[in-house]
Amino acid sequence: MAVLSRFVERLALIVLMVGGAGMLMSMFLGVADIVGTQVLLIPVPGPRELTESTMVLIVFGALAYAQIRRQHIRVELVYFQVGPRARAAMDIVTDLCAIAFFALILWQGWLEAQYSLQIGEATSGLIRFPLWPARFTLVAGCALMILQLLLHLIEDLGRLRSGAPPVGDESGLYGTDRDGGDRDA
Amino acid sequence: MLDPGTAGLIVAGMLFVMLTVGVHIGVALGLSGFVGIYLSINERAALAQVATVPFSTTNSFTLAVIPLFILMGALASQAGLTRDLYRAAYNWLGKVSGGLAMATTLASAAFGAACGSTIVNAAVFTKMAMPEMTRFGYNKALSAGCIAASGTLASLIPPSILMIIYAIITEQSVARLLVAGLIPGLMSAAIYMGGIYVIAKRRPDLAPIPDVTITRREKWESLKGVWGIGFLFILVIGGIYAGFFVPTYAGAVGAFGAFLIVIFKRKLNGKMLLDTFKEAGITTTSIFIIVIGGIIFARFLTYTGLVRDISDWMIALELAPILYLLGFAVLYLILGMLIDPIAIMVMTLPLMFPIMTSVGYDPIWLGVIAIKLAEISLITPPVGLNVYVVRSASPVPLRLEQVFKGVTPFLLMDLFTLGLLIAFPSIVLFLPNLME
Repeated sequence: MAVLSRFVERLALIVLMVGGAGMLMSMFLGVADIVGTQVLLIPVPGPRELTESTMVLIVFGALAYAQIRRQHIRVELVYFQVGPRARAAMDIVTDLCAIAFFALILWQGWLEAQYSLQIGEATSGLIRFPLWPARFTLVAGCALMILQLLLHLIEDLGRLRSGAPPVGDESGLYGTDRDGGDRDA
Repeated sequence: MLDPGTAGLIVAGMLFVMLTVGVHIGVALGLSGFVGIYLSINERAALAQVATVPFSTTNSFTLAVIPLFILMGALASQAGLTRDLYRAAYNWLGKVSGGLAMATTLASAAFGAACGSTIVNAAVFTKMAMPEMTRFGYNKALSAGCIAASGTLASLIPPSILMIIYAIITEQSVARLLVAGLIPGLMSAAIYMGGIYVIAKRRPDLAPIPDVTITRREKWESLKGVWGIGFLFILVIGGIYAGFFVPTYAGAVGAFGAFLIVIFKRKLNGKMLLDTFKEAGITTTSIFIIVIGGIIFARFLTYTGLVRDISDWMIALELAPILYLLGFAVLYLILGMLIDPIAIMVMTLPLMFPIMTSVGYDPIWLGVIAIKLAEISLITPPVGLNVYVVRSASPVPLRLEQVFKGVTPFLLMDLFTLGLLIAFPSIVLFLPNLME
């Protein structure tokens, strides 16, 4: 279990870093395209298409890592009013809903990606940029996210019994639990 | 097959339960939208949304502006920009009545020019300005309130993520909206600073003038750290304004400039890059999941004809336009207690936009007003999100009531600003109308 957790975390971090490198690349591409078209008057082919595909990598690549840090945005009003076991129960519902949502995206995304590969789907324009790599990236990102959600589901089921706070949370909102005392005091 | 009204009620109930339980906002919106379409149209239509929306939302050149501006903000933080800005504002304003608080507002507004997120802005400045103001004997409520309120300036002052999301949902020009936020954002900052000055003059005990000497040389020295970002801001916004580049490329230029500043300050290393990627990656993905879920939810509202029915019904009431505006203002204040501003926009705009534009409001002006409202809701008692951020990020112990008490004068100033923007729409529309 712990081995699998570490493996997923390492993988998620690597994907996140690749996405980050992609961000830097789109940044350079954008600047290069402006310099190319506006200053040197030689258009560089393909920067927009490449930026689009990179976007998929940035968003779906960081998905699982954000889940590891439990940083996806949620309504916390009730969550922080209730005890640790109720929080665990709420986290379980959250995990299940997210699994359902991303499983739907994974399933449909997989069909779309296969179809895209089959028909050789590409962007229209000066250069025909293939779209299937980005579509498979989306599928892979969802798969990693679901794997991480399953790990959290197991952890949260355990918390339901133990009443412990979640591992690896960095939201800083669990301060009261960790310090064992009220910060206001 | 259910009629849209019944499906709408089921979906509303489902959404409410999921949000209360703490399901990720994007997931809650996406799942309820999916179920709504499934119930009122059919399975194929519902699956088609799940198949197309996640890809078309991310594989988009227009939306690539979001991660690029986020990257710009993350790089600027890594370059130590917030500290430099605060130092400079502090050196220039420190000896004026309420100067430290005014410096916080000014530095927050300036950082808003590099960072598009209210919550990040508030958290960063809490860690920096709160200990400083406390050290010089500033009243804690005033200090915390000032930080919580000043954080909201980031979403009006371009580049603003919220503004971009409004533009994309309502299919308006990103460039014009970004430009439209400039004057209202600066005006809000100026009104805050004026208000702080008045408070400090009337109650000097709340904001004592620090007993330090700042030489003229120190003042000029401190500007060294900030001219780079000032230049970058003019380049990015000027470039958009002049139509020299599209907003996505403005984001690329902004991020590139911030990257150069990092290199120039000799702060480029592996750890710094990793931290930047983590921060920018997590922010980007959490925003996009909300946008994806929100678009699926909006499709449910429009495809089933619910939007048309509700808006026809509301327009048929033939109320004075200002009453519709007031109605949405109340709705925003309520939603702002629970939900972050991006989700508020994503949820309300499919309905609000057609109603408000058909009673005669300008779409660009409406964007600025909607964002101002969403931001006001972040600091409104009893549950303003930014107030919680300041409290939990503060190195100095704070009670929630203290922050709410401190934020109240700023709330009144914001209502005044909002009134001005409503009474004189040209404050908002002046700049974007000058663009071609």
